[in-house]
Amino acid sequence: MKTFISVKESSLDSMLDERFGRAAYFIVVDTDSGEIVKSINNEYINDAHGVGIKAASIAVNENVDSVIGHNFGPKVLEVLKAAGIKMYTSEVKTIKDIIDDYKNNKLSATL
Amino acid sequence: MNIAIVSGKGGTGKTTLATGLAYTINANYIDMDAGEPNGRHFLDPEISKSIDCEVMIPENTDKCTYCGICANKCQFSALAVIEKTKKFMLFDDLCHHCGLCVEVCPVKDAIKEISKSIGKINSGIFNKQKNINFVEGVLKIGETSSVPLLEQIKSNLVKEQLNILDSAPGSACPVVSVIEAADFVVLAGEPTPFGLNDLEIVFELVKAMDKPVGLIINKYMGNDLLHDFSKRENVPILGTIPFDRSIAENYSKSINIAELQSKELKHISENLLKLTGYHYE
Repeated sequence: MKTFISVKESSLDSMLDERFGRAAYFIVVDTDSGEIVKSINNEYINDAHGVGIKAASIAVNENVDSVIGHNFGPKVLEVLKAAGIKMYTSEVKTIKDIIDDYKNNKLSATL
Repeated sequence: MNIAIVSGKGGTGKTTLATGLAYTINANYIDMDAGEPNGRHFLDPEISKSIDCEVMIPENTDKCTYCGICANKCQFSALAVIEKTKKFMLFDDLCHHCGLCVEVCPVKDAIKEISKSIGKINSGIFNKQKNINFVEGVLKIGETSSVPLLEQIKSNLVKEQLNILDSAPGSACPVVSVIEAADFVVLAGEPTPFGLNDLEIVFELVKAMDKPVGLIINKYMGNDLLHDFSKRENVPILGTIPFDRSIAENYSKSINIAELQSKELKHISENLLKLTGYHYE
């Protein structure tokens, strides 16, 4: 399964970026191997509006099964829901810890 | 001739002064604070016409292939397109009605533009003897941008008449739209640190747009804040209105300031007309 995470740095030791649309990077992680399969620089980070829509659209285009963030805005929720992508929220931790939480079903699912 | 009243900070007296001036010199009053128009309370107009202001927003048709080019090209991130689940999502609070999505769409007739009302433009007269025009823009609750409404109001202004344009506060797009139409800009200043701070921001905008400008000091309490600004920036002072509780009390009763401070308003009007070179009967 592929999951999409908002991160401060492009590494498994990085912390989760609490602002989804304005995260510095997005990473796509293979949850079975626990490895980063793709790292994406957020080119929309300084846009005035619509960064959530852009970030959600990137996740949609990466064809991921789920998205992990600290919190999602209403527009992100709307886009990801329409795409049928599962959403999970987590406390700000390292990506390694979050992947462990994911595997152990410890993340909270957003409806 | 269009005279715009701006202030930066809210609550400094734009509407008080704009309606007072319109009343004093029989100028058309144009309420361009479409988010919260309230000039009508001080001019008691008779509204005879109310028209819808419409903008165009995109909608996909059954020809849409969900390729997502429109969403990628949108400068305002107003679109999200999902190929897998066949979703074309417009976030219309972000849409600027530019039509780029239609232009870049590779499929003929896959996106059509439909109209949406964002508010109303009411017009009428406020002085029955002299037929002075009253116009107000009223943005619908929930709409985020009044600019298309203001542009529509501007296209119907009679240049040969004297129009007082009452602006929204701040120094963002709606204020830019008002200043753009102005032949002269009046700063409604409040002599407080907050008033000065925001006045300086909107003054930068007026300078960048290269418009002649004058200052009215409202709620004058005897300090030098705005006099210093006037000297520093070489902005002529058109007049002052004192800080007086009775003015606020009468405002709360919808009484036009020109009825109470007629001497001050006449003095300001004379200075304003001298600077703008406009003659009126």
